[in-house]
Amino acid sequence: MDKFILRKAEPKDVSDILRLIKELAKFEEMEEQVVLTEKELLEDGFGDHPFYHCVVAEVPKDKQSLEGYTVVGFAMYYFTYDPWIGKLLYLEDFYVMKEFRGYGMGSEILKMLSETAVKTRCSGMHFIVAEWNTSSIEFYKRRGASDLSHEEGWRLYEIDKCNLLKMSSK
Amino acid sequence: MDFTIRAATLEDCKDISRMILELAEHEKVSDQIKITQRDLEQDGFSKNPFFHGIIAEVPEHLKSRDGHTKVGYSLYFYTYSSWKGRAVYMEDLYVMPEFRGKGIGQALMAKVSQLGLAAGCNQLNFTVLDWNKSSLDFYRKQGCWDVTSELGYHCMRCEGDALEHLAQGDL
Repeated sequence: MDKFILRKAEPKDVSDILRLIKELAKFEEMEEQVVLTEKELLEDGFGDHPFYHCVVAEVPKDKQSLEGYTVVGFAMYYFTYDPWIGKLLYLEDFYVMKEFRGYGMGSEILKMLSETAVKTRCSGMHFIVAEWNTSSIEFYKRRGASDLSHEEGWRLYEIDKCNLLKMSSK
Repeated sequence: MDFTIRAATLEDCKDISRMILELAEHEKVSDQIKITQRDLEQDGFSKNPFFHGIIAEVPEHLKSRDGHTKVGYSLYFYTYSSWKGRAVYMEDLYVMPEFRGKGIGQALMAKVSQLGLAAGCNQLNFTVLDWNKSSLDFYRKQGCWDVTSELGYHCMRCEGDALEHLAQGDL
């Protein structure tokens, strides 16, 4: 498997992007949490003010997956801001289909993202990892990532829509 | 207490910068600040801002001991959940110590929620330090839950030399 390309996602990719999001969520045992639709992905990623950016990994037709897919990996990211150090690139999702691992696709995707981060003058790249996902944690630590939850005590909090509505009316 | 919550303007960057430093001092990490007032002006008030701000202001006769009428702020931006779609991330929330306990923090957070909902967001996310008990209590009262504790997600960062090496494909 020496032939694959990395490219910016296009509107025609939303079906594959959603498929890969669900595969990754399934691996994290969170498949039922994915309520996002293709329509939302299209509106939110390819309108005038995109909420996210996406790169996809594609193989030629003769190397397609068992089920016939040629888009076999992706990364979804956006830009955030830390008032102490400035712009950051936030990696929301990063996934390569199991049958296409071990060929350097993941490394190439991360390389492309970090080039984007450096080019746009971001101070760093942030993301979250589940603490039980030791193979991913090793992959990231080998590339110099540090665990802020562990080292600095940061905990990620969430308020869902129901509580947002309650809070906004206070 | 008489106060107003409004969108931050370019002129507010001086006070935002002051309060960012106060918040960093409270979190015991003020030596890590590299962003200047000028950076805030460029990054928050150009054609494609990287963040948005709201300010809590009191009338002149209620100003702080040091003479400030801008007494609280929140910085936020829009993010995206691959599970649920549009989300809003509250990066900073701060009220000067002498103005606490009067509902200003809650009002700032309510405003961020309203703005987030208006933009079609389904969730509000933020991070809190595990030793910050008074903040943890405040947030739990608003109906938040700890994603790190309950789902085991850890916040990771790749920066500086590590980011440069990654970009060059070094291992």
